[in-house]
Amino acid sequence: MRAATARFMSGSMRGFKRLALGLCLIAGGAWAEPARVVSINLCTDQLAMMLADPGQLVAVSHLARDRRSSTMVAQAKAYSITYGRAEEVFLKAPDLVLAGTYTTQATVDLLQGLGVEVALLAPPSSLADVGDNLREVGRLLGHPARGEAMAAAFEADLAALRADVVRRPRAALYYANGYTGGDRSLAGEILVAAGFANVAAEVDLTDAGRLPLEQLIQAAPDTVITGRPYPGNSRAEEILAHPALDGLRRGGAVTDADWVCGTPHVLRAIAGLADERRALEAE
Amino acid sequence: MTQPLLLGLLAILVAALFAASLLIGPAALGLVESLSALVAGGPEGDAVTLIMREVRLPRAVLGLLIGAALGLAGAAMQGFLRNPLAEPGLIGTSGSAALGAVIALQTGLAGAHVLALPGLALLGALISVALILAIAGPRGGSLTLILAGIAVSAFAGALTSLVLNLSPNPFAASEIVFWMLGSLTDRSMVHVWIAAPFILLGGLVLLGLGRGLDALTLGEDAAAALGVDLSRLRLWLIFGTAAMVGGATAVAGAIGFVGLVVPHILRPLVGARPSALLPASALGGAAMILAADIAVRIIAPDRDLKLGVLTALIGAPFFLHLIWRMRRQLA
Amino acid sequence: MSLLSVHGMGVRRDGRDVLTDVSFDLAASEVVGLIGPNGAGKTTLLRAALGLQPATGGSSLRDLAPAARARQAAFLPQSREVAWPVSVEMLVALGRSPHLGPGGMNADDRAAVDRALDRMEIAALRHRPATELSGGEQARALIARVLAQETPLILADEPTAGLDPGAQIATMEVFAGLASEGRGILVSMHDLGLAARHCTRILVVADGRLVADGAPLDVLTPGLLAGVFGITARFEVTNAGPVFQALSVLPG
Repeated sequence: MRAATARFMSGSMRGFKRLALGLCLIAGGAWAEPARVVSINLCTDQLAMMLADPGQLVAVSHLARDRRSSTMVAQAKAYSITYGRAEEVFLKAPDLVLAGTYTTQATVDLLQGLGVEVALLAPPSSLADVGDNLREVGRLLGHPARGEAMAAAFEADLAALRADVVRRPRAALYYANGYTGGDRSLAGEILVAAGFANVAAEVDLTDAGRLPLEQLIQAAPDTVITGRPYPGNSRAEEILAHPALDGLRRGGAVTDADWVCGTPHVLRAIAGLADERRALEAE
Repeated sequence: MTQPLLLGLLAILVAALFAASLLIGPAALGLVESLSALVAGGPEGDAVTLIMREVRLPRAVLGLLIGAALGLAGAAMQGFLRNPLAEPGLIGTSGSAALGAVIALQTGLAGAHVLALPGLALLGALISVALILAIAGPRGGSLTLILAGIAVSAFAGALTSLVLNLSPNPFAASEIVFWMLGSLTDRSMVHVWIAAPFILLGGLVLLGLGRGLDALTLGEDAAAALGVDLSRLRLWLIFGTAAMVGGATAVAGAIGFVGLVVPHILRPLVGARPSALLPASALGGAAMILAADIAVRIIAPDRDLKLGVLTALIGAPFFLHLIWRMRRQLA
Repeated sequence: MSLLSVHGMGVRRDGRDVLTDVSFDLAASEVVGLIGPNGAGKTTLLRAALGLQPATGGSSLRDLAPAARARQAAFLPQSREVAWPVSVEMLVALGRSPHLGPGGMNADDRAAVDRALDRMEIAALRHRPATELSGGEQARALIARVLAQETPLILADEPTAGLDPGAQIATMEVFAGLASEGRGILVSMHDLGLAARHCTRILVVADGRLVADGAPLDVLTPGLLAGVFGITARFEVTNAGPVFQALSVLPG
């Protein structure tokens, strides 16, 4: 898992802490159980809520309560929230802060400068990362067996869900600003797991990237799966309402909170999308 | 060069660039194939027809309209203020129109009524032009004009950022760049219908002001004594520029310098007569935006390079050149 | 025939009377000089008579619609403004704008422009940018613009300022020529000698009031010159016409 354990160690006392960590890892193969954990990233929020002991997780990010991106809104109400700013996080006196690798570098540096342990988790870019992340967070929270069990269950469910498809309908993921997900992205793997072929591969897009509207129309996919627009307005999302897309969007599949983070909830996204595929084939 | 010859050459240039704009895009389409799809259309849902009619045609039409709007508005403002530095972008008209558009979009008014988006953009432009004319009217001089323009631009820009930052939409905050620099990427016919009536109406108004602007060459008193109704001229000018800049900015963001560069280049070719400069600048502006929009697609096909980047790269040196020439008057 | 009738005209600005109860008539074939010290209200009088300036009282010009007024009276403002480098011909042609139909300039208009250029002797400059002329040439081009308007009445605010002596005299002779064709001229000026020699009548303004109105010999009396301008002068009618020369400044 991208050596995340090594990356949370930086800051003023780096050398000493690395030594201490090394000893911990050698001794138990696990992180000594932190008593107060604060998560400031939507994805680590959800993994931590799944894996922490009662009372161990002190706060989650405000996004964990946002229905559009979080799958665990109800659970998140049991925790206090932060907006991920160093000052409020520090005041929670955490033993461990869980953050994403995309968390503002300045915040991470400041917390580490204040002597707070920060563990950085890369956002999952594949379904395999989901199991890895579960194990990783389990280990960070001091519950490696719990993480291992949840990861194993996820992997078994995923294997059962992977459909054996004869003819794969061609689908395109289409997000704000004309971005799409290729085969080497979490959303792309969800698409394939649900029995679709990803149109992005046809135009040599493997990761996430911009797919011009013209090329999308030219590829003439069987369906286009878009994100659900946020309230308020943005030019970025206007492309999703472009008249030229109307004829391409079949069925009601949209990417929702289940798609955002690599949690076991991606299984719901795969199952829902597979239903969509069967409906499309029945037409 | 005679006026009909110049306008004819400019029209040919615009037509060529319009055609090029239709033929250039990430989807590699054949010439015959794309033109026949555009004109005759293919079967229902035909990809080439969709691309030509729903993606490229609106982009080219908007390039034409918005360029004409910015060129004409610049020429008209310069004629009225008798100052070659007057330009919708520099004096904050475009920024204020963008503020109006952003308010319409973020309050949901734009979704509630189709006229709200261009209407509020027009209102923003209207207020800023009226304010600039009040502060730096014909007797204000270049320095007052530019300084007032800086203040209005900064204020409108700050309010635009504020509205976008307060938006519940996570994408909105990052779109200050679009509103400040402008782009035609992935605009649809919907946007053409939003902008076109305002731009055409404003264009008719401004083209009708030619004689008044000519007379103003001699100063306000002489123009008034020549029978020009200055207060009516001022009102029509404010309305015409606001409608054109408002309509253009509502769908494409604020694109700067077009109204500065185009009249500056064309002025010697029309014998410096303000009335002759109006239609020439409309055509020249259309040519400049169409060319810039083609360039952004060729330079960086895989990313949404903003139009304002190119127009500023060309326009800012022009601006400096003009300041250099006018430095004695400015000092 | 009266070309301009002003009666009881007054202008207040910033709570101060800058023009009070001015009345006069101007008939065809008159060249009327408007004289007075700096700040006496000459420019205000011209602008108010045209209706370019809010005023009380009456002016026959102000009552006309702007387009009709522009065909009745042409105005040469004091500030010699040429905003764009248009050709001299184009500049002069602006004088035709009150007469133009929707089709623009016709042969009559072009002929009027040519007459004006010839009269001011600047036909050779017609294709030069007006902003690149010398000060005197530019002044003549602007007067030509006023002539091209071919109105019965011309109001000119200090048209001779800054011209060399020859051009000053030539300009006044042009006005005299126009008057002989039946037109009326109202011209403000500082050069009393020029006024005395070339005007058929003189209006004197002091502190916003019309203090004298009549033929030069009747108006430019030692008493008026002392009271209004604070100068003494010699004014004689010679074989070569009236000659006026200011001599000295009176004390106090």
